[in-house]
Amino acid sequence: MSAKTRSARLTVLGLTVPGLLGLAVSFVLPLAWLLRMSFNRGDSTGYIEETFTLDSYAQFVGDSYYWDMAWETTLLGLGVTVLTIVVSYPIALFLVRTESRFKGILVALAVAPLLTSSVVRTYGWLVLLGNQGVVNQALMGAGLVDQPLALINNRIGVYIALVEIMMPYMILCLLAGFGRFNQELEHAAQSLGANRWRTFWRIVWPLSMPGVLTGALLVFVLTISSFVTPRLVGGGKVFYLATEIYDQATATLNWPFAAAIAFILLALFAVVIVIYQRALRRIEAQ
Amino acid sequence: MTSKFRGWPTRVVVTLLYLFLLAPILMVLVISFDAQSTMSFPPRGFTFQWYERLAQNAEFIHGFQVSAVVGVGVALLALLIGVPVAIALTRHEFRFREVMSGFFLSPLMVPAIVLGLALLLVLAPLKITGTYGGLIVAHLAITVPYVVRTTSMSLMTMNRSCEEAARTLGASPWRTFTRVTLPLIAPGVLAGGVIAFLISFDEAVISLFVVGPQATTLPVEIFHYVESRTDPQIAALSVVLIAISVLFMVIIERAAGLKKVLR
Amino acid sequence: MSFLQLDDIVKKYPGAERPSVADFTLGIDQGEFVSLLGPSGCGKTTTLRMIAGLVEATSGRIHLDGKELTRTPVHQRGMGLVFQNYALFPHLNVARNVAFGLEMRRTSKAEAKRRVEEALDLVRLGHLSGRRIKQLSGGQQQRVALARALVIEPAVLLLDEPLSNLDAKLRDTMREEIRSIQRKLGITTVFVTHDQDEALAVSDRIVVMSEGVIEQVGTPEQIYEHPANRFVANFIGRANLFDAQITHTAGGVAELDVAGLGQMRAVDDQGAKGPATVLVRPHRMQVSKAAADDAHGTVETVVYVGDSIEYGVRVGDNTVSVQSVAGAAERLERGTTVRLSWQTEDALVLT
Ligand SMILES: Nc1ncnc2c1ncn2[C@@H]1O[C@H](COP(=O)(O)OP(=O)(O)OP(=O)(O)O)[C@@H](O)[C@H]1O
Ligand SMILES: [Mg+2]
Repeated sequence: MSAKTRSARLTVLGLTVPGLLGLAVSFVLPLAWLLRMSFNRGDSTGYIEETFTLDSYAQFVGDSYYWDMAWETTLLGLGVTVLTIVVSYPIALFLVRTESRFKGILVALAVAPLLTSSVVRTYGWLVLLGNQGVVNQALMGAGLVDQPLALINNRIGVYIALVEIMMPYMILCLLAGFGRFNQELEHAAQSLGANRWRTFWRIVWPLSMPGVLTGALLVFVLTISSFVTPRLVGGGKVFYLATEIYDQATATLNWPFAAAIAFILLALFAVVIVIYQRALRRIEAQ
Repeated sequence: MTSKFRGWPTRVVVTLLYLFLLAPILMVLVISFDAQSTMSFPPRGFTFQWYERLAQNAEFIHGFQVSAVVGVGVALLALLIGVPVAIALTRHEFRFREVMSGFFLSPLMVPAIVLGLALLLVLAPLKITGTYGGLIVAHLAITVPYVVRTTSMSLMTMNRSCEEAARTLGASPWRTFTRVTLPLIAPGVLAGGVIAFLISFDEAVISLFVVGPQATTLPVEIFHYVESRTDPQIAALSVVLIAISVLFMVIIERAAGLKKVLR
Repeated sequence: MSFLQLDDIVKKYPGAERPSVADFTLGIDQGEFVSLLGPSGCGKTTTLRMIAGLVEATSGRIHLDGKELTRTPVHQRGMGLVFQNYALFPHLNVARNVAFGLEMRRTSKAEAKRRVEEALDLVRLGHLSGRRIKQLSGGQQQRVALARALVIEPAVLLLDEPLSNLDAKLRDTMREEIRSIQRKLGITTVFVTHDQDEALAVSDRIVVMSEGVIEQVGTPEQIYEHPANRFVANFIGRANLFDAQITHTAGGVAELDVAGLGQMRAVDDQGAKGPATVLVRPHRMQVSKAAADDAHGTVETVVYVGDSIEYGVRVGDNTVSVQSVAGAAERLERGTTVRLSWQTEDALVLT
């Protein structure tokens, strides 16, 4: 008996040790090292003093410039999340209800952008939103504006591009959430005399809440940690926590400070996840 | 009830939203054949010159090679360590199974920008940034979870009694695995490997931290290129990459069914 | 010691409150066909899997041909197991499925080929050896599973509800076929089923189980005619069970005071005393019209089923089933007041 359990344990050990080692080297150790680094003292010459201090965190907390940056990052996360829900919901609802022959293709089209790297899609937005781009050409052609609007190298462009980049994730979550959607229920509500708008707010929306919440969490988390789009569309002129981490690490070479910002970003994550779980529990309690 | 949702306002809204969603990809497609070299609209003339120039761009070609080699290396390594983990998680009872299952998915919860920085701090002192080995290590954490997931999925949905039948017919545990289990979960394993490759091939943020002059991946080359200029060569390259992604997805779909993998 | 001997087998799954199989002791002779019969969840599959080695017994011993194999790993036991869902290998064709066990035994190519052909001919599937599993009907898959288990010449053939996925007609044919192959090969067989007709039709002996314990072991006749207790009487065939008080026993016959019926007689093998249960099968009951003050009960339901008529007779709080041959007696209407009776040899006192 005990020989048997011992050999079973050895089997499990043998199966998992390579994986554990792999993640230890590529994941756990680096993060632990990052945490340690955030307690060192660094400066903009790239010099790092091995010590144990909260200086880097203090530098962040003590400077309103970084508070603004954290606030802009949070705002970006919230704004992109809300806008993404607004533009994704109609598509998801349409896909759930349509009886079209092309339903399969339409679903595939809605998530297909996931197959293209976000660098490529960001490039597409640069072309679309530039001074000579489609959007500005169309606006000027229609006589709505005399001069091209500044849609890139600022926050507006970042919002527009990120919303589009997050849409497929949101649509996937919404579709999964609609899985337990019951058309009968909607029927019942309508035959009870509720009008279309009220049916939506009283029945459809609450039912889709779990999907909306999951999508919102995913989009928020992906947005506040996104780097490529804010950097390229922002043209190096707008700053968020993610771009700052990169700049501090590669341009300023202040690794301790970059590490501290990274952990502040993780803390923001943790807060959001706690809020999400609270909200989920409240919805499930109903 | 159906007629209401097929009314024209719905159609217009949904069409516009689809247009928004697909705009950048469509734009890239159009631009890649555009005869002019500044990014402006509408296109003036049709040309293949960007694709031709692409074929001569040494940086992109080298980047492509690096990404392909790293992608294959990451996929193989992720399979090598991920498949046994999936077996342990689905076929064995042990005390910390839940914890371990969570642990193997956790890299997906950490932002790439944070993980990239963390890897830079560890790999730089070891002087392995900008090497194939360094890049493979850097991409391992974000690909293993997918391999574990697709393989576990196959193991869970596969008919367990086939394994038991093999055992009663005289197959040792190892032979049961190679002769019955492995052939039956092959689609899931293959899907995991392809996804691992695609993720590594597309990965830009982590790579930005750990590339170096000898080995720079394609997404990083593209990133730096776009940072400074935006001529249609990038569009042509994007179209090529999209075509490759689609090809791989078709492979997965054939092998395992895309739906199962995406869930 | 029998050919296959199970002694005091207990299986308690981790986390379960009660053992799924308890104190299971059974000897099976060489060439015997034994059925494990019982309601769902009574531990039949668990018992079979312990014999096969797929489940480890918590305690107890298993001997095969005098050798202990309680701790022998599955792949060294040499048992042939046929699964309820067949568990054929979908990536191999019919012949490769059947050959699998021989490959594991490193049988030579030529011999393997010969034995696979023999096995497939035995189940009358010789013509389909190149087919893929997906291209077979349920009945054909069943035969492949049987051939695959038989080709390794197992010491014991174990069948877990092999017929439950087939339609009724096919089930009867397959049942006969399995039995005739078993006779031909003389192979010791343990057959799990929850279908009493199936068990009665094919078995040399039946093991009736309930909640993990053996209720009775016997030939089909013994089980049907002399059920050991209320559970077996109820589970095998239909039964009327009457509460009674034994007043006198002599020469294997008991005089009883039966609730609602008064003085009756029944066979009593054991010479029991005091309170008892009397078993009478519905088709052994007799019913006749009677005046209201003389009656035992009232006809409540009448169901005409071709050859016979089934009456439900209300006696006090209970309903007694009576099955009488149609046309043999006058037909009773609902609401008729009746007397019930039986021949002494048709009633059995249970303990
Ligand atoms: N792997 C397991 N883990 C825990 N409990 C189990 C396991 N397998 C079976 N059991 C329990 O053991 C009992 C007996 O199960 P078993 O499968 O042997 O019943 P069975 O007689 O074959 O029933 P059926 O006719 O439904 O197949 C059941 O209560 C079941 O819930
Ligand atoms: Mg069973």
